[in-house]
Amino acid sequence: MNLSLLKLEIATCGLAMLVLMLEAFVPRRDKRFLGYLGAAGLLAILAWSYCPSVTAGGFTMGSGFNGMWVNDAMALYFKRLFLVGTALVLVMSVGFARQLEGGAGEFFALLMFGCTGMMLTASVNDFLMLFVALETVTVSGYILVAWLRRQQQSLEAGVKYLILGALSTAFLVFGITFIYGSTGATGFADVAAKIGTAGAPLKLGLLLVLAGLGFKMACVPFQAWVPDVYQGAPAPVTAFLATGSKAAGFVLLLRVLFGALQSVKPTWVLVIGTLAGLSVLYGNLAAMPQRNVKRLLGYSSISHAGFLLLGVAAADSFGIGAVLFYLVAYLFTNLCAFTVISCLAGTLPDDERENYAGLAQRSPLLAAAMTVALASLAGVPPMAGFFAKFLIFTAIVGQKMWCLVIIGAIGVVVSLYYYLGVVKAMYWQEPRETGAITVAWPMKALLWVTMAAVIGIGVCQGAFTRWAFDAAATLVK
Amino acid sequence: MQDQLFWFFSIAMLLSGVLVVLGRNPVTSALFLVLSLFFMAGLFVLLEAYFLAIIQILVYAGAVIVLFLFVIMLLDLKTENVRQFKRFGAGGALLVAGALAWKLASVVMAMPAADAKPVVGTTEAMGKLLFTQYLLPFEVTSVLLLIAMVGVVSLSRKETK
Repeated sequence: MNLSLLKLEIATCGLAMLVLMLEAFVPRRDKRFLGYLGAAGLLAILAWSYCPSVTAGGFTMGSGFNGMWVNDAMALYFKRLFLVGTALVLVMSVGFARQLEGGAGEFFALLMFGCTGMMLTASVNDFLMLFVALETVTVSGYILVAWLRRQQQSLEAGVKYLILGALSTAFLVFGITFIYGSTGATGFADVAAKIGTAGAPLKLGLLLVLAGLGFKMACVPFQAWVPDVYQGAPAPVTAFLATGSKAAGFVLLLRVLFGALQSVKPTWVLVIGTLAGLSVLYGNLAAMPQRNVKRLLGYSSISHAGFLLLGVAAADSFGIGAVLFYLVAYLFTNLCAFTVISCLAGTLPDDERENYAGLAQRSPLLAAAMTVALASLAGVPPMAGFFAKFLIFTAIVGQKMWCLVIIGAIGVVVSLYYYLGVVKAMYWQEPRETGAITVAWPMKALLWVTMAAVIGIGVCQGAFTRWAFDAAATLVK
Repeated sequence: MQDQLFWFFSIAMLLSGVLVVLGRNPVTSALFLVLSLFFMAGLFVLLEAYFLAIIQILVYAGAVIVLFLFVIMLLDLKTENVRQFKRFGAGGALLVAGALAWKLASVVMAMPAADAKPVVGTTEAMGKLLFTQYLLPFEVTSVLLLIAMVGVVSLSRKETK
């Protein structure tokens, strides 16, 4: 046992508990301070993760806890991604705090507990640990989605997320039972050793585990919860689900596929490829008639899960590197879009597209940020999303998966239509109401930071792709 | 003797499980759930997992279901109306459930007996496992419970404005 393997997680969890306790002593009007404290703390932990003692083969790298835990370059990559994402979501929630009824401190603390869970998922090397880490993420998600309990939409979203989440957890546990029953082990390495002899029960178990993970990643056919939950949840929480929670699902998928199922690659490439194609088609086609912007981003999230799975289906180190890069690009892009939605949440009656009409006249900054985000989601150069899609397509062309290439291309073309529809409304339609929308300075800063990141990652992709590919190289030998 | 007991507990557990779903009155459903959990505890005893059996009865049958009953009675639910299913939805659900059941049956029939070491599920053995091999998941579970507690308090408290 070596506790220093867990020091990033322990620090994050401790920070969350600190905020939770301070909340009792901070007067009501100063609650925002807690959000900033949390964000600053997470960024400090991020900086700490760059210390030589963490990175350079120091005492935190390696595996431990009876093989349940692995700290390699990929784990560190994802942990940093979760830290950055959660810190930005915290700043966004501070700007949103007027609408959080009371208890903003607990809201911030739960976001950080969720972040702890996600960081745990990055290092999972055992099915039991997978279950516990995933539940830590999901349970904080249930609570955060239902946070606006005076609004029927938020409560409805919370209940739907809870029921479907519980169902997917049931699948997951059922699957783990079959895996344990047929191999007598829960560690990925032990399962991998027995995969040749265990036969049908193990296969069924792994299929059920994939179903449970599919729910987190929001891919077809486990996508039914997405539109309603994305629409009903508070905007920062939707951002948290779309970026962090999805990335957590993907890191677990990669860990299972390459940790336990390396030897049966041809089988799962077929399964993942099918899910990827279906998700791209369903997400993009179903997004076309949507008029609600949050709902539209929900369907877009399904299609992006599909694109990410395309990279996983390529199943070589290039494809996985592309997935890692894509997740970072997607993180900043989505945070940019949801910051705009958070800013507008208090001003506009709801998130219907008609309300976004003429936004450019009322607030040029918000319209510009939304345009950058949507262009990146659609994959327009020079945004980060363009290069991410480019890498994914290179990976599947390299594997000669022509059918998936065609489906992906159709998805990209279709997506232009509905993303640009929102842009059109913002710039070329007359506003329903006039009057400038003022944006508070923290949100303004957040908008500039995310916009700069989206464009910056797209323009200077070199450094980011190198990080992603180095991390992927530790997973795919 | 053990075999007969196994069959008795299993069949009784499944029957009461089905009755939980079929019951129209939420209170009856909850009570059948208690019954089902009792029979499951019986199965644990047959497996010599005594600690789990006791926990099953104390925590689930004792505490959780009693809480369920409180909630049901406080909410004063009416008998649920018969739900109308859409034909497409019901057909799809049946198809998926059927496929899953068929796959499950074929797997379970072919499943070889596991070569697990016989263990005695006493409190001592459980405690040793929890604090050695499974220490990390055990500790993370405590964080999970903290999250759930914070959530319940936040979502259910009165507004103080």
